[in-house]
Amino acid sequence: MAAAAAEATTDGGGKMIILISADGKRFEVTEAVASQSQLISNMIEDDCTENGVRLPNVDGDILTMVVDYCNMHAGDAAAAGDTMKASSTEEELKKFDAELVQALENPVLFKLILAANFLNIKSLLDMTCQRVADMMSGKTPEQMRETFSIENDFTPEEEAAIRQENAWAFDD
Amino acid sequence: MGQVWFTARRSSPPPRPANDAPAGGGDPTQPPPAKSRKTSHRTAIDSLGEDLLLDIFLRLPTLASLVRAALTCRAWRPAVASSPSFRRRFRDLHPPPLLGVFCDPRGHGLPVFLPSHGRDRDVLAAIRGGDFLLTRRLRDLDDGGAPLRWRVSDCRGGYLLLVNSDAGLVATVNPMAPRMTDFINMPFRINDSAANNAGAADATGQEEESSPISLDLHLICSEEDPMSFQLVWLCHDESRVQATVFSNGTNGWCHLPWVDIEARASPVAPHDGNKHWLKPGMQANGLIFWPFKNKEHMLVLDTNTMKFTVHEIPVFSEVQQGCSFAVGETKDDVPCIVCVVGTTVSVWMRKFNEKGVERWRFADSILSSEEANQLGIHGGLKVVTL
Repeated sequence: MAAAAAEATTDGGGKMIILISADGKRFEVTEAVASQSQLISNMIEDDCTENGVRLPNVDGDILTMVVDYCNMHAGDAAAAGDTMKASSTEEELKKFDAELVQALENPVLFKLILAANFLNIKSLLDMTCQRVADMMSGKTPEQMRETFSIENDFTPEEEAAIRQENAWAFDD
Repeated sequence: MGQVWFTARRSSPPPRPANDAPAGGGDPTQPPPAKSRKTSHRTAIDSLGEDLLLDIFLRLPTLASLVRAALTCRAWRPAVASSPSFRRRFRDLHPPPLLGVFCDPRGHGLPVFLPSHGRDRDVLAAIRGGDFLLTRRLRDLDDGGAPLRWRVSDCRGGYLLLVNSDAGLVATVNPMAPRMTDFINMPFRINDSAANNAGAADATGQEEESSPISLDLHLICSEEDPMSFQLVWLCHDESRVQATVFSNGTNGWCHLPWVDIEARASPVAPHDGNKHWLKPGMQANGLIFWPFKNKEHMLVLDTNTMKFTVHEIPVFSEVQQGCSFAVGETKDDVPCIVCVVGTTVSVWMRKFNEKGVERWRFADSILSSEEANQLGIHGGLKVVTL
């Protein structure tokens, strides 16, 4: 692992930048990896990553996952000649992504969505939002409330009326 | 020092944060929604805010799943209902499924619905849940003595536009929401075309030679507001046309001024002796197209401005004889003419030429009997979409 890391440092090339989470954890990543975040990519362009990039909206645990994800996917975005990254095949990536989102408890998933949105990492945002949509689809409103701990704030009369109006959407 | 990850490949899922901060106590990148009086302790999904919630809703597979999601709690309903741009994007990503077709067999009082063969669960549920027999509201009228003879006049935006000339009524029916059926009095008395052909006169007496001819009625739906619609009724005489417009906002008919049609008045285009010189219209992109029977021109009404223009039909005269054509719209909202001659399908699109003048330009032509068959089907039937 250490060897791989050392190799990647030289192999990945490019400058390293430091991301600092809300709770002060520091992550050193290559510019290529960090640039998957449109926010950071813009900052790199504007030359304001010198003293590390503070991300007051993202805490360390979430940033760990984000950096993990970006490292894994750097092959997509980085230069094609990068042999290290090329070794993560599409299939591996898919497996990695699936495992990443499926294992998450809701609060973590939502924080990851917020982080992906803030950092503007489109592929991660797509994937995490899709995960929530998948959790919603095929469910009745009751099941959805249960899944997402949502309080039913309709009165029984309102709910009955709504169901009647939209009977076609309720297959039961 | 800093933690460094490179191609760290995990076979196990990433660790969970040691402490799941309570929702709202974390660090949402967006301020909590303004309506968070009660929500701070409630559910973490609220912390996403409306934009991200809608982003998630866009990814739901069907309209039915969107409706169920929107009815989960009070806050989600307006999020979906009040954003026209969201609804537009959802529609773009989820083309409405074909539920079936209505046909209008003679002798039946009500149009007959033939469900599609789809096996999609939501589509089947929609067919079961809707009032496709059209009986729930239209039968009510029977008690008032109005004969049950409704003909389909138009069909779009999930609505059927039905005309009952005996009762002098027009109805807009959404089979999915039968309670919202609107009944509208006709702006004038008409003999429908069948009656005209049979030479039947109604109680007001035989129409005079010069009296205007009622051609057809079109339904114009608003993409922005599904509850609002307009009806356009076209009348014409030998060389003039008139649109009579109903808007459900004002709940009244408005007779627009008569417009002279030069192509009919000019001596170059001799009157063919037939006072029925227009064919029933077709709608695309907020425009209604009525082809002239001479197949050289068509009358176009822009329903946004209610202005008439006349286009030349861009078809070579030698093929016009045996050609059937339809006006449609492309995915990019460009009006197009699809024309079928034998087994050749040709497409013209409305484009600006180098001088900035809009013209019909030839776009493509395919030789395919299969496609021609499909077009034949589309041309002959009316389609209900949600």
